[in-house]
Amino acid sequence: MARFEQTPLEAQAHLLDTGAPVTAVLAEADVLVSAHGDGTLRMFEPGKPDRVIQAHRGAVLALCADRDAGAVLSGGDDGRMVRTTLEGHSDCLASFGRHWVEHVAASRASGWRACSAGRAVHIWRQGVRHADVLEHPSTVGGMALDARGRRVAVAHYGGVTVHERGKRGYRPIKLAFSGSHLGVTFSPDGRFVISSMQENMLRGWRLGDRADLRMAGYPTKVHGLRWVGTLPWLATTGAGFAVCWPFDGRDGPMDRPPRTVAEGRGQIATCVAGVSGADIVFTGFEDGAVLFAELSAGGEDRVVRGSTGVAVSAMGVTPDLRWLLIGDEAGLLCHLPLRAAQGI
Amino acid sequence: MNVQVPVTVLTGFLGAGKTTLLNRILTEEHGRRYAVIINEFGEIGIDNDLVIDADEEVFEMNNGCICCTVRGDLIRILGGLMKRAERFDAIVVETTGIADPAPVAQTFFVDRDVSTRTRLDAIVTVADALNLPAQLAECHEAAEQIAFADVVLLNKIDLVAEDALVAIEARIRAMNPWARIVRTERCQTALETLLGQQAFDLKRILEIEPDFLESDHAHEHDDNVTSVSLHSEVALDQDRFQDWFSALLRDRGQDILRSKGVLSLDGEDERYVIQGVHMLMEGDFIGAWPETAPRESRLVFIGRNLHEMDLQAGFEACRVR
Ligand SMILES: Nc1nc2c(ncn2[C@@H]2O[C@H](COP(=O)(O)OP(=O)(O)O)[C@@H](O)[C@H]2O)c(=O)[nH]1
Ligand SMILES: [Mg+2]
Repeated sequence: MARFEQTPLEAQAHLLDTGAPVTAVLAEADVLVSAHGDGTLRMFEPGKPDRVIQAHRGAVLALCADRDAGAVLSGGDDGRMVRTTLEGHSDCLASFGRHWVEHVAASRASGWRACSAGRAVHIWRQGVRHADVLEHPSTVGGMALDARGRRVAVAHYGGVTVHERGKRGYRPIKLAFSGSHLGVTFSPDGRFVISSMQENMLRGWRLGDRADLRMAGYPTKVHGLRWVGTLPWLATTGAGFAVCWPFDGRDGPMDRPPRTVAEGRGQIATCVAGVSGADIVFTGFEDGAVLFAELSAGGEDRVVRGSTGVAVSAMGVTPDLRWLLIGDEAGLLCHLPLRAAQGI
Repeated sequence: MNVQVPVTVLTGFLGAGKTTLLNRILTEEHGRRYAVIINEFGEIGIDNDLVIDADEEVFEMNNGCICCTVRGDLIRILGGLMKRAERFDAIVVETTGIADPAPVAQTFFVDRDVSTRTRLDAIVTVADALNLPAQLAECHEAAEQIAFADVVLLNKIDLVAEDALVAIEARIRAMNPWARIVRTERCQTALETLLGQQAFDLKRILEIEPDFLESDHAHEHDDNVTSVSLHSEVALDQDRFQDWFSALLRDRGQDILRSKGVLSLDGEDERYVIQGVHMLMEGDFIGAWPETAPRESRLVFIGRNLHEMDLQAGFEACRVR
């Protein structure tokens, strides 16, 4: 028995079975881009034919918007960092041989590009030909640039290192907490760094005074972290609903409970998506269902897509909230026009 | 629809023949797709996307259990492999010569992502028939690798006389009564004898008869790693067994390398099967007792200092009175 019934909205969806697990989705202006386990990128743009680009030889492991508009950056298990324009032209920017490129990041504010390969993070600053190489004590588990693009946070075993670029180089700030850190993100205002761990919890630090945060209680590992809304909220996966931590005020979520939305009827949320302008979150689940929820108190969940039986692995929504792209572990893509649904 | 990909762990001392075996797996015509995760890149003569480098990053878990270490790199690599569009028939993980196999095995107990997409198939240890006695004397990791094995590939038999082979087999038996010993030269044996063993499947544990050799050879060496087999025809009291067994694993789990058992619990109609690696363990009721077989409990431990643990007395105290 399906937990969530099919929705009328689905009748308007464009479905595409790619056969290759969907590893990432992002929105670049009104183009939605998906990355896949067969090395392809797929681009969906209203009114234009879909595009398929063979960007990597193996699986695409990471995807982000590039430093200049109109292009994305990807990393793959073929050891390459590739730039692909929205017209579908790919260029290999760097190659690391047998190392997988598991994380990529770029900043429009600073013009930096960064990627990780093994224990090293490589940073290309605008106008500088060579890459700066930052080594870490263990394999890089996660990497993020701050909004200004001048600091990179790197998650690894034993904590997070924030490298801040000064006049003469990088100053590392070590944020230690024992255990393996698998993902990291800066709050949009740059005050907090949050990491997700091998253990079922998040760890965080306020950079100003290194006050630490501990966000625990998840039944499984947290794979998805996404900043949404104006507060902003940090929406996370790993529980039977979307767990959203409030980051307003001086203390953020310190000693405050999270808001939980999108009740998954006994299954784990595997993916969250949203945009910075609106207090809403899309939550994907193990059985393929996707729910829409408002973060204002008392909002009701709405089913965007019913259960399919395959876990949602990646999801993205355009900034104007008109299009949603859902990808799953088996490679099915579902491109949905949201405005057709009243209220969403 | 989610088939778990079997993962075989390959251990063995430097020079035992691991690379020889991996090269066979990668080059022979077997019609299967095997991914191989290796530690010493450069030894394998093949460079393609089926050969993946590992860093053997052993991490401690923050779960308050001192010996609960996992392979962080393995979690990452298996997760990455499962994203590929092409599927694998099996994955082989090579550990470095002196590695303790426990963290690899524990990774499958502890990490939900790993254990939903893949399953630990078996630990295969390649042993150098000529040098194993010296390695056992010098290095405790050699004993650990034998103790953990589901299959011991006794390799380089061309270099050793028959009577010495018999003696070494007896010694392996004394340390590990479950392991299937396969004699090989240049690791020549059908891959089916190594892969697809399902040694960690609770159902399979019912089928394996531990082989306790009453051999004199076994006692010539004072090996630190030994095995103990416990047996009871009287059913066990569930609560008392759980209390005793969990306290045992909690307090002595560092010394208990592996444990397996089929138990007759009082008041239950089904066989209760358990298996553990150090202090991690899993158990389940696996079907009714066969009509013909007696309802008896059997529990086997492999580990160090087992004689200090009063295993016999502790086990007997669990019997219903
Ligand atoms: N005589 C003999 N040599 C072997 C046998 N198996 C492997 N070798 C050799 O032993 C050496 C070490 O083998 P290798 O596979 O590299 O061991 P590893 O260190 O475990 O990877 C190599 O020179 C092999 O050719 C065998 O059965 N007999
Ligand atoms: Mg070797």
